[in-house]
Amino acid sequence: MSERFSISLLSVGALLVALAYGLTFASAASIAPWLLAIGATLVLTGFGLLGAGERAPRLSAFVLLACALTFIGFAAALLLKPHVVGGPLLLGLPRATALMLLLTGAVPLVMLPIAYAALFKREVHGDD
Amino acid sequence: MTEVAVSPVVIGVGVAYFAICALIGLWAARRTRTAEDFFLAGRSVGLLPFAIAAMATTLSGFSFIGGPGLIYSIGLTAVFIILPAALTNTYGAIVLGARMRRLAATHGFLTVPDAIGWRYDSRAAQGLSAVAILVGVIGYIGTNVLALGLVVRALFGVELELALWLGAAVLLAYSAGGGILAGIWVDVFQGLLMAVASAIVFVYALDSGSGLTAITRAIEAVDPAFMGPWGSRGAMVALSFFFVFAVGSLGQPHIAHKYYMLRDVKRLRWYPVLMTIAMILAQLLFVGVGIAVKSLVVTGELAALATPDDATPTFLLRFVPTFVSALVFAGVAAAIMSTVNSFLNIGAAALTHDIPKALGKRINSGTQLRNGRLWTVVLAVAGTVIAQLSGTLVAFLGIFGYGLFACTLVPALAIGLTWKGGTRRAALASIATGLTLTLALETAAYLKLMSLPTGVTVSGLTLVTSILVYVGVSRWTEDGSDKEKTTAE
Repeated sequence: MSERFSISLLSVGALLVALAYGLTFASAASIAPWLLAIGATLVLTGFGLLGAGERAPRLSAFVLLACALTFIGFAAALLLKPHVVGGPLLLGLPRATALMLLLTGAVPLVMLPIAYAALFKREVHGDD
Repeated sequence: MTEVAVSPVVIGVGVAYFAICALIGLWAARRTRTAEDFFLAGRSVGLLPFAIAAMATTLSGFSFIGGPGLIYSIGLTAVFIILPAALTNTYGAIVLGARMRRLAATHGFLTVPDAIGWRYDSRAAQGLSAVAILVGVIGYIGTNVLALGLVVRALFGVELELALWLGAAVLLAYSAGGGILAGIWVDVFQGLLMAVASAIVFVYALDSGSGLTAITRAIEAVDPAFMGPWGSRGAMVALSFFFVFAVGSLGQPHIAHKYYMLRDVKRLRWYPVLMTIAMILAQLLFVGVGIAVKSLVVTGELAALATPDDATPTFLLRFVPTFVSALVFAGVAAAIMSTVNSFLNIGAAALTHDIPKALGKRINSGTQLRNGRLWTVVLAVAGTVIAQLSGTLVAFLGIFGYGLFACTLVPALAIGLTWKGGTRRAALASIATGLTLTLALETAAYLKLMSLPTGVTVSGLTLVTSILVYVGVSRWTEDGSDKEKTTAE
């Protein structure tokens, strides 16, 4: 990804986070969690792409995938109905919680380190 | 903190733990001959000790005491403090790791402000970032020495004042003599202890509540939101935690500094995998004890806690064998000491190396080593004196450390090392903005002159502001007037 694209993602994300905080101050909070979820994810995507650099397309793809999963996890938690007493559980947790933790936590937690190790010679330390 | 029943087993484990730390310190002191040994362990650290030390340094006593207490209070909202590790375990390596190690090899850098000073060709940026680090470090040391004193008191049953000085003495025994070389190897010992203790207690935690399903069912009956995806405090607070702890992790100087110490940049390859395994093990207690104690309280097996911080000590006393409890308390001491050691080291480096360099003074390696040891002692003593002040003041000093590091260093360091467009004026503006805003807003909040709406935190506000200031000023000053450097390529 180009540096310009990455810094743009980071900047737009930071603006959305600031807007989310601003709306919370103004008590117009219903959309604020969505803005914060999108903004935080964009900031992290921007950082990841800047860090990977333009010579690491595969690592950048994994960063994009991890950040996309993170956002899908947040979106699922925001969209799914709140858990009710006696409601269905997944892995011992309320379904929305389990889904969010899998997408935002477990999958990137395993995927990114392995992708980094697998691509290290080719894309991180390839010139040396 | 709840008192542990002082027993020969607890005292024995405590004495053995502190003796091992002191012995490692003595061993390292004999091998510390230069400033590079003292501040960077001679740039000779292998992958395994590096990963375990990074984990031990990242986690403070909060992971063992404050974290489980926070889960007990606000449910899974608190998980969003550790959830970013899914990304940040690898982001540290992607954004900072290889770049900082290469810079250290090429330019012989000793400190994080060295990289900032070089990036912007600015002694002012190096000095200002060192001042920000120093302000954060002093508060952090005070808070952590107090936490260490409470653990020593719980282990040995002595008065708090004596406990504070005993804890500080052991810290100094290895930090002042062996510097970060001692710190790394003590961290390895401490990190293994933390991981083992945490994993064992997690098994006891699940068992005490008859498994995760039973725990969830017990808690949802009285507080359905507790185990919900955002916990009891809702989406804004949870996402705000996520933003601050995910992005902020790229600006923690005591972690970033460690990248300089790696023997070889190639060893970074497996670092995120090892760091992830170590972090998962060490964080099991954070989540397990928090939800187990909540379920035990709602089912009436435990009385409601006097304070949330009693969650871990109360659980250990009631549900875990004495020897394991003693191991966990040693693990708590380990978590605190490994973090304080790193803060002492980077604080001493700021005073010995960065601030004099920013003022245009040249200091040789021998003088830096002597001054580094001296400032380590001064900072430890100052931290112990601060720890004896009023509890609210100590809490105030400690509370802004993470956020201060994040808003002053993330833009200038993490963006600056990866984006060619960052400029000197932007770095100075973002560091100054972060430092000023944090001090002003945290002081106003401490004095109750202002309050923020739910979900908005000072650290979140200052972090996003300093990022926007950095990018905005860089755009504004991208006329080539600044001599820019980057390690992006």
